Amino acid sequence: MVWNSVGEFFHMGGYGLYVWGSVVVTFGFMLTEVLILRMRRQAILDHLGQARELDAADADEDQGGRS
Amino acid sequence: LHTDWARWMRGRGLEAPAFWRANRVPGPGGEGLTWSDLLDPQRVYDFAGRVQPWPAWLAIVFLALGFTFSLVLGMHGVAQLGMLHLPAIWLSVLLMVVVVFWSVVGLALGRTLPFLVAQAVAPTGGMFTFLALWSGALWARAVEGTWWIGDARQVAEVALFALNLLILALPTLVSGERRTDRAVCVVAVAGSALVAVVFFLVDGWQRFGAAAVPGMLADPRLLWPMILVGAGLWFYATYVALMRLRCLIKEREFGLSELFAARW
Repeated sequence: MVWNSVGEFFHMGGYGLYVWGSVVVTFGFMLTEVLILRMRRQAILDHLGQARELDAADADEDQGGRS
Repeated sequence: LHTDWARWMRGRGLEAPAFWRANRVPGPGGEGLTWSDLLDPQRVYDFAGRVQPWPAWLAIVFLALGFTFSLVLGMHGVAQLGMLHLPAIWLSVLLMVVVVFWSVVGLALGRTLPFLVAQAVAPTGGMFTFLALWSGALWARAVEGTWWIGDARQVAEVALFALNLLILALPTLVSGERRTDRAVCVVAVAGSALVAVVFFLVDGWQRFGAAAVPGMLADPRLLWPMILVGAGLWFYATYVALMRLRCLIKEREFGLSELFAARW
């Protein structure tokens, strides 16, 4: 190990801004992508759930009309 | 070209891979598992859901190993910056190769699923291209004092990013699912050939004029931590692509592609 303190670790030999700027943006993008995909999946499931409820309502109406 | 692929494989005594058989999803066909199940969206949807956690955990393990390794080796400063920059470049190129490969397979077999795999991978490739450019700019600023070096690597990466943006825009530009699939295939193949031409042209031009930019792998000890980080990013890409593939399959199944066209 070449660091004697936490501050020295974050300083990164004078390149802290560049190193951490790269690390934070990379992992930020990766986490955001996972979140976006979860939201997309949820949106599809919500949409299909609504579609299914509408179908069920239509079916009820049909049955009500017939009986 | 549109032959029965499954029968062709069986005729040559080729079985479905063991991993696929071990994680098989019971389908309408019962126990028998054939090659054509690999092209059946519903079974691939279930299979992807079943194996999905594995690449996520592997990504975390490999990324942790890579960064711990680099810290144990005492890498710091600009060397640490390369730890993400070079793997991001590898991934951006590798994922474009994957996109080209699967869309060509889709065209050859005349099936939808390989096209969906290609479109599931493309946005992640675009993201890594952007990250390669971003960390490359930071690296250039830290080492050379300028945000933009303009060497063959950087120029080709910008061209690759433009290609990725075009591929991401195609579902909104082209109407019809089959036409979108073919458009992605054509653009990916032609575009990546163009990116390669750009790289070698700029590279040749700069070698002709001035000395080439030295490599970023200043310390050979960095190679192994970098390979570990690269493997971690690869598993991450697999995880995200599986998630997106499942979304794409559902969207195609229920005719939501137009509604969700602008989602990545």
